[in-house]
Amino acid sequence: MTDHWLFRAEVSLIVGALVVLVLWRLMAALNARGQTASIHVPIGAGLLVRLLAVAVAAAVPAIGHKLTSTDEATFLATTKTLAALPLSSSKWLSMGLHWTEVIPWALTYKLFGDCGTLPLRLEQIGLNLIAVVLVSATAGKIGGRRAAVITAWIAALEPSSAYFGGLLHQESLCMVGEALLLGALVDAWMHDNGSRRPLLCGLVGLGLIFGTRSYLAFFAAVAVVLVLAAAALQRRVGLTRGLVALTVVAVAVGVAGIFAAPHVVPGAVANLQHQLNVPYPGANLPLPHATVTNGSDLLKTVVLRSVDLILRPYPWQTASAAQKVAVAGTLIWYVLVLVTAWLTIRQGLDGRLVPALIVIVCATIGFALTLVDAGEGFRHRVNLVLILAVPLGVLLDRWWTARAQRLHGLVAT
Amino acid sequence: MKRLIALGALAGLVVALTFTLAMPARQIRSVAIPARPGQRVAVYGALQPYAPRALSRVTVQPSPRTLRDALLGLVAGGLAAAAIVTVVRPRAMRRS
Repeated sequence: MTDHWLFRAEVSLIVGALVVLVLWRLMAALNARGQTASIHVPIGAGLLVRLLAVAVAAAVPAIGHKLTSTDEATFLATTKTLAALPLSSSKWLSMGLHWTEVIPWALTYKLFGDCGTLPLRLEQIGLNLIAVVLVSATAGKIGGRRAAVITAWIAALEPSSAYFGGLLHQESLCMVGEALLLGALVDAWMHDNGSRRPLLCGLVGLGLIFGTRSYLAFFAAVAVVLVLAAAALQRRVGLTRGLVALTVVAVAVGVAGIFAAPHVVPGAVANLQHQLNVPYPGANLPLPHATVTNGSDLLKTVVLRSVDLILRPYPWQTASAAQKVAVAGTLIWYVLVLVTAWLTIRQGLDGRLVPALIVIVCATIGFALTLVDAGEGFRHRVNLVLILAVPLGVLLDRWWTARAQRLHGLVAT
Repeated sequence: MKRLIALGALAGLVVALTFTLAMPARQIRSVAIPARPGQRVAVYGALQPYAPRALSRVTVQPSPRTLRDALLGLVAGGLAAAAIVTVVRPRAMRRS
C-alpha cells in the first residue's frame, strides 16, 4: 500500500459520488416532469452490475484482457498526451470535435493528475446510465410511467451493456448522443409545435454522435430526415400510407445513393474499403472480406453486414473465456429482437414508436458498413440494445395492461 | 443535511490524514533530471549520488503529499456523504 493508492481511492470516491449525484438529479428532474416513475431501483441495479463487471474484468484477465489491451490502450495514451497540454492548446478543440470521448478523461487527468483508470471507468458508467435514464424518459413519454420502468430494467441489466459499461471507449458517450437524439425525435413526432428544447437536445445528441463516431452521424442525420418526413406524411395521409410511401422512397433513394456513391464520393468509398481491409486489432472473429468498389458490391456489403451485425457472433463461437461470457449477451439480444417483433406483429405498429424503429434501422446500417469483426459488432450492438429497449418497454407495458384487463374480465364474469 | 455533509467531510479528512501520515510506503517514482556528469543533483532537498550521465535517471521517493491527500480526503468525504444523504433521505422521508 502506498500513498498513490490513497490518492487513487480518493479521486475514485470523488468521481463516484459525483456520478451518483448527477444521476439522482437527472432522475428527479425527469420524474418531476412525469416522464419516468421511480427508476431508482433499476438504475441502482445497473450501477451495481456495471461495477461488478469492472471488478470481474480486472480480476479475471481472460475476460478483461481484451477490454484493456486493444483500443483502450490507444485511448488512454491519447488522454495522457492531451492532459499534458495546456487547456489553451488547439489540440483540445480538435480532439473535442473528433475524439469527444477522451475529453472527460483528459479533463480528469488534467485536474487530478494520473489517477489510474477507475475514475475514468466510473465516468463511463455514469454516462452509460445517463443514456439509460434518457431512453427510459423517452419510453415514459410514449407509453407512460410503467413503460419507462420496464425500459430502464431492460437497458440497465442487459448483460453486454453492463459488460461494456465501464470500457474506456466511444460507446457510453455515443449512447448519450443517441438517447438525446431519440428523445428529440419522439418529441418532434408527438408534438407538432416547434419547441426549442427538443431541437437543442437533438443538436447536442447529433454533436455527441459526430464527436465519437463521425461516420454514424451521417446515418443519424438520415434518421432525422426520415422521422421528420414520416411525421409530416402521417399527419397528411395517415400512418400506414405515409410509412409505405416513405419506405418506398427511402429504399429507392438509398439504393440509388449506393450505386451512385462510387462515382460521386470515390474518396469516401476508398476510405471505407481501406477500413474493411484492415483487421480489427486483437480480434479473432473476423468476418469474410468485403469489397465496396462498385455499387452492387456496396449494396451486398450493406445487406450482409447488417445481417452479420444482428446475428453474429453465433452462440457456438466460444473460443475464449470472454466469448463464452458473451454468449449470454447474444442469446438475450436474440430474445429482445424476437419479442419486439412478435409484440409489434400482435399489437400492431404504434406511430409513436416509428422514430425508434427508424433510428435502429439507420444505426444498424451505419455500424454494419464498417464492421470487420463479429466481436466488434457485439460491442456496437449495445447501442442498438439501448434504442430497442424503448419500443420493447412500451410494447411490454401494453401487453401487460391487456393481460391484466383480460384477467379482470375473467374474474368479473 | 448540511451537518451530515460536514461530518462526512471531516471524517474524510481524518481518514486521509491518518492514512497519509501512517502510510508504510511511498510511491516510487522515476524522474529524469538533466545534469552534467560529475555534478550532484538535489531531489526534494535531498542530495543524491553523482549523476552518471548527461541525462541521469534517478529513482526517488518524493516527500509525502500530505496536503493534497488531506484536501482530497475532505472533498471525497463531503461528496460521498452528500451522495449517501441524497439517496437515503428521500426513502426515509417516504417511509415516515
